[in-house]
Amino acid sequence: MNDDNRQSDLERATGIQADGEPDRDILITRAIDGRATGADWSAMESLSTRDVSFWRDLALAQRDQRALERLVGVASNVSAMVNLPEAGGVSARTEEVAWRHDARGRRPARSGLRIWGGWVAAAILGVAILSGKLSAPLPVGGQRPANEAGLINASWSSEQVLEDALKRGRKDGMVFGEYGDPYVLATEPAADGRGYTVVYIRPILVKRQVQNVYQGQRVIDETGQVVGMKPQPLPARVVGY
Amino acid sequence: MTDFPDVRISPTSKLVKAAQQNQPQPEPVPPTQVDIDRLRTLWEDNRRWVAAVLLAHKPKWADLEDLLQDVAAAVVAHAGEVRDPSTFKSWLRTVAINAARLAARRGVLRRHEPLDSNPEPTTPASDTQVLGRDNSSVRVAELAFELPDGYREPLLLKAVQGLSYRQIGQILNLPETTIETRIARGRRMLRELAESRQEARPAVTPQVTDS
Repeated sequence: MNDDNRQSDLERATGIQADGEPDRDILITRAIDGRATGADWSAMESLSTRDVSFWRDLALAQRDQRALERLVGVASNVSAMVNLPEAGGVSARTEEVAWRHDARGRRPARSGLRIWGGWVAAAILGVAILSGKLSAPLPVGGQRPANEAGLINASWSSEQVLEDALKRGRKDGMVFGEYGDPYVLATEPAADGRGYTVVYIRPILVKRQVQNVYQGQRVIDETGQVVGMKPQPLPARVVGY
Repeated sequence: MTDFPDVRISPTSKLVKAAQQNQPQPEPVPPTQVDIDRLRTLWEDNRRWVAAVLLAHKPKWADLEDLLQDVAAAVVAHAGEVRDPSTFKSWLRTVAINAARLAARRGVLRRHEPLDSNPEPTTPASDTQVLGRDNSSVRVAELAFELPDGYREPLLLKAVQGLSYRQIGQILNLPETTIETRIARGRRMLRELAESRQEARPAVTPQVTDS
């Protein structure tokens, strides 16, 4: 049985054992850690008259403690060099390290993106020039396109057209937001040397009113060529969430 | 409009409800710079003792810095899932122990890899090598690794500069008095181990008794 459990609270608090003798180990530890009270020092003096090795053991324990402090000090210096990584670099190993915390073996709630997988009706693979933050570049003049008349300007970039479509979608309730930050797939220095080219997924939540829900199934001829798509009803669970 | 079946949707998802009822949806809140700064401060306040926990549990050959990076990555990815802030230290300790155990398992797997795979060092650097030529420190540190987990960890945590018994108790989720007892017994075990080695007797892990 562990002696932690055999010792009463009173013994622990006072360092005095049930037989009235002071706990030698506790006294040594209190002396080393600077926690010894006047009563503890008196007990140590008294103990040392009967136990000639007491002061020697205290000195040895103090030496051991200094050695451990040197070891841990080196480890602390190593830790000072390790900073938090940027968010997003979650590896399978990170997942394993973290979720085992739950003693009942349950994984914590998954990320919102995964829960919302079925809801993300449109994931747009975009290419952007990164200038500190992922966002659609502003057109010349720094203004977002105002398209109150519902017309698309022929001079707009595809990015501007998309922004306009999202704006209109939010207005009529068909687009109801974006979920989370863009998920970066790749980055590389831009060809012109200014900034970076970033390939990322931009999850946009879209809802549509439809009469029926189908998915396409490829129709393949006898030579193995795809000759068309045959609509198949989607299972309800795919539509539902 | 498509009718979404309630049974398939988490009732806690405000976004889902809002979409169903065609209401303006609450915006998902990404971590702000303040959150990130807070997490960074939290990590900087705790990483020294995390290193001591790793030291107490990791295999000798595992690289401490690598393991700290694993723990730091887990903090970034999962600290937000810790619902009760008072359990953060205990959670962080568990993450550190998991990282150390995972390293041990990976090490065991490596030993079963075919001979033509990338060679790993067969005699990896020991933690105690960093102590250089200080022979007494090296000896004591090596003996500390022979102590049982329950005594080694509090002893190493007590060696972290400025860490109080109360803080060690919060990390190990144990009362302060138990921490004191374990440190006291751990110190005695260490002393007895050192003496038994000096006398060139066969190595024995000392047994602790009430006396």
